[in-house]
Amino acid sequence: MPKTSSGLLSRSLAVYFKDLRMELRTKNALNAILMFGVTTLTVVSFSLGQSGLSPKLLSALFWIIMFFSAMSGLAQTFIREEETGTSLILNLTAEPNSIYIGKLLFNLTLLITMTSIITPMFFIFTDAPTENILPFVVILTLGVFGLVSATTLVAAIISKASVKGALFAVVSFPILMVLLMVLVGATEKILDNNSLSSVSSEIQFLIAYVVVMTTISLLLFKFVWRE
Amino acid sequence: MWWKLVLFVFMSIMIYFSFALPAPQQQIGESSRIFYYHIPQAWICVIAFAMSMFYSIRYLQKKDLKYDDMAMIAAKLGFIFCVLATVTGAMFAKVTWGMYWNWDPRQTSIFILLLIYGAYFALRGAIDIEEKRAALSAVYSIFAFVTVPFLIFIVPRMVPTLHPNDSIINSDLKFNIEGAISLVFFSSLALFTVLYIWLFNIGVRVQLLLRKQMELEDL
Amino acid sequence: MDGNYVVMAVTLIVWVGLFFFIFGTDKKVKKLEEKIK
Repeated sequence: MPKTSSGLLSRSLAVYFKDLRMELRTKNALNAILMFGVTTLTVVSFSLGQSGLSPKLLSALFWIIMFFSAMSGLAQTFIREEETGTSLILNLTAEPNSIYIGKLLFNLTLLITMTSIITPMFFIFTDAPTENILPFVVILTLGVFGLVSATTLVAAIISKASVKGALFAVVSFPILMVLLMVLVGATEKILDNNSLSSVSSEIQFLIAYVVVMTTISLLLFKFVWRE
Repeated sequence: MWWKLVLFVFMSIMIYFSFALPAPQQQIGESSRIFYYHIPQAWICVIAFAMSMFYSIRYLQKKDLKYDDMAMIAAKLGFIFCVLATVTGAMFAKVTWGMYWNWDPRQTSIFILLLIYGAYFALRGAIDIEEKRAALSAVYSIFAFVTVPFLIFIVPRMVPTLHPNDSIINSDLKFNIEGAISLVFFSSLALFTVLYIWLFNIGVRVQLLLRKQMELEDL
Repeated sequence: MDGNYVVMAVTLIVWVGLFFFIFGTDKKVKKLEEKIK
């Protein structure tokens, strides 16, 4: 990875592809995140039966599954750098901004992969109404972006802590709580067969959230990474 | 020295008048007196958290552990006042709405504030090296504080609130702050602020002493 | 109105107790500060 000749984007992509190659070799994070999602989904479906769940309950369950699955895997990429000691080498070859963008893209890929497997399973197992699938996908996409934009910086912080354990979920939750509240509300409306325009204020909120969290993360990341 | 005496005397006078004057809001009745205490506590909670974030930014600029101490003390005091505001708010909610807790937007936002600083202290506890702890918790504190405007400005507008003063559905519950009531209220606000600054000052000095003691032990 | 005076008395007692606690802590800190110098 040459530091000077190429632009920010290509350097970010270099970090991204390095992570992707590593992930494809071991599939650590993807396995963790996927298995966690499947496990929670199974428990939910098993214990609640298959039909007659209200939109309110369905949307809450869906985002609980999403939240905990995300929490089980999104810190992996940073923790791996710390554990194998490669963060120092990465520090020499790339500047913080491109590392952050690379990791953000990687986590996004991870969560999108997991979501595209879990969501169909969720609809199959819980028999949730599928008439309104397109607005659902819009909210879901924004939700995934929101989750990743807020947790990537937290993951970097956690990877530097000496006691990791359940810290990632504990520290992420207060930041994600607003997001989750809005997402649960919006998903409930969508599952209740409301049109996309009925959740336009939620969509505005979600876009603002993603933009603000990504910008602030970019500003703060160098202070975390240099520690 | 003299200002401590002034604080003592004036706070006592404020407490006297907060109960001796007629209740600030006639419809809510006697329980509305809690506003002389609840609002200053919420105010200190916000001030302390703003200070904590300010010193966190200072730390990241200067890398001086003094600022980390200040950010930590401000967060601790803010947390205490936040708990007080939550408790007094819940008491008021029980009397006027019949429930201690009903996830009113205001309660939700103060609950998230409590969670943020709970997580802040959990994070501090998990990092051993001082400089690392200072930088990482400063970053977290700033990052978490960014979500606060989302809470205050967006969440309460999405659901109607029962909180007096910004209540949409019962606007007749607004407090009329005028005359003697306003005098008592604003002096309470000022006195709580002085009390907070005093506590902050003591906290920072204690932290400095601990630091000196550690240096002496190292020698 | 009587209830108000009871609560007032309790609040005042809490305040006086709190004040002297903080005051005492302040003094203790000052003493330690002089000692360590």
